[in-house]
Amino acid sequence: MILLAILGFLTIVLIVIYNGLVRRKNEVDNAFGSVDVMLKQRYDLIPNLVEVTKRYMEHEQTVFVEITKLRSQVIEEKEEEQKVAKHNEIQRKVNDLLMSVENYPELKADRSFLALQANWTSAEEQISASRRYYNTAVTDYNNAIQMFPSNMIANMLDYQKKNVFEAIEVERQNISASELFKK
Amino acid sequence: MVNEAKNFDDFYQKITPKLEEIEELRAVDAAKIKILYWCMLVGVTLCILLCTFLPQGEGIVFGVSIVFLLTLFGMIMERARKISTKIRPLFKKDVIRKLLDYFYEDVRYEPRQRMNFKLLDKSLLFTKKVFRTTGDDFTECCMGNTYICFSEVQAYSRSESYFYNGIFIAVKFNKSFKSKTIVIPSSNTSVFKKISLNLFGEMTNASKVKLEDILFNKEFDVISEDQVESRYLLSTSFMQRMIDYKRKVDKKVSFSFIDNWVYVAIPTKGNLFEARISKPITDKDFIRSNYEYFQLLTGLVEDLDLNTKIWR
Repeated sequence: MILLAILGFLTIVLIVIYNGLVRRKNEVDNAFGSVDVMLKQRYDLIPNLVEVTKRYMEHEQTVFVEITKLRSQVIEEKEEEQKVAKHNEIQRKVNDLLMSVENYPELKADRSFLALQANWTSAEEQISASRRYYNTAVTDYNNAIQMFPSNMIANMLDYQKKNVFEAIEVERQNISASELFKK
Repeated sequence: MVNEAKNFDDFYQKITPKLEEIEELRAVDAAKIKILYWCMLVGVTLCILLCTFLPQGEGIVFGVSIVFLLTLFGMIMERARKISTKIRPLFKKDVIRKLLDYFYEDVRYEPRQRMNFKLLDKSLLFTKKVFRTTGDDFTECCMGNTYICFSEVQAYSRSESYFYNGIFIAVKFNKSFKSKTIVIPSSNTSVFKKISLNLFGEMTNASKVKLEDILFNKEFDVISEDQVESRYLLSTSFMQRMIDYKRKVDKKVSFSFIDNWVYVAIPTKGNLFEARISKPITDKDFIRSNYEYFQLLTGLVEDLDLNTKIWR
């Protein structure tokens, strides 16, 4: 009887640990999905942004070409990490572009441009929020697969440690579109 | 918007004649109350002496003394009520309203009005359903481009028991969002709050949000319908500003983000922005404390940086 009770108890513990691990893993996938959605939202803004700005910024044509090229590369990219890297590259380019807005007073007064600026900033903040969510989910997941006794089940399921998002170089330098818009 | 060029001393100088008028009214009645208090004190002393030294069977004297004391007490209360009804509207009209007009632009102040009870319910910040409210000092103004309104509120449940007394603020938020997020003091049991919000359908799929700011997690619990959007609202700098505001107010402040508005509940003890009876109204510190409290409430916009629309 006692043996049965112990076995029953152990089974419940195993179920709880297993479900916890699966829940955390799914949360990480879900969080990554939300980062992807937010990146897509920002990505969708690019054609309009390029269209509006190039009317005024005739001297920046090479930057427009580069941004458009990078945008098409993002669609073709299959590797998630490379995809994120390409998105970061676009962000850097657009930020460079927006940095020179000060030299184009007519563009600064354009209503469509102002609306796009607002959307761009909002998209950047959404991306930052989704990355924070992803990092929290990954930390939670990593803790679970490294801590005893859940690490034993995680090993059996071949759950691997995941990496958190790290700030890209451009963010480390505190250059972001939102900062530029404040100018 | 607060006008920095104006200063409190200047305002106090301007308001002094009015304050003196009100003080004159208060002083007359306060003196009468003082006499009644003294009579009561003497009466209580006599009553104690009678109880101690009178032989048994002289209970009639004791009974008469008690009736006399109760009458005196009733007179004091009635006198206090009279002063309050006389001075209160004058104080609100000639001091509080003038104070607001002097320091803020485009301010609307309704001393006898309060926030709509439906708004309190909508904020999801209270443990019970708000059935009715009492309150006063409804104030609304624009701080830069940001609209803010607040009032003192006492919230009552269906059983007529009151469960909240304090300030309730509504501010138009500087970001648009779709989901509902509430930020409550961590001492409030968030698990029960989360379950009740889900059970009563006030939130859809409400779950606890674990944020990366350790200090913020110590002070607050966050429950939201959307993990990403809650982080979009609660950026790292915004979390720090919320902690700072909570410390400044030094009360158990709660926030909720619903339909592009942020609602703030600050529990307080007693009634704010009221004339006092026992001490002189002309006291500069007393007037200043009223001003500072208003500044604390309207300062929410500046403290949380709600006026900054970052793309501007």
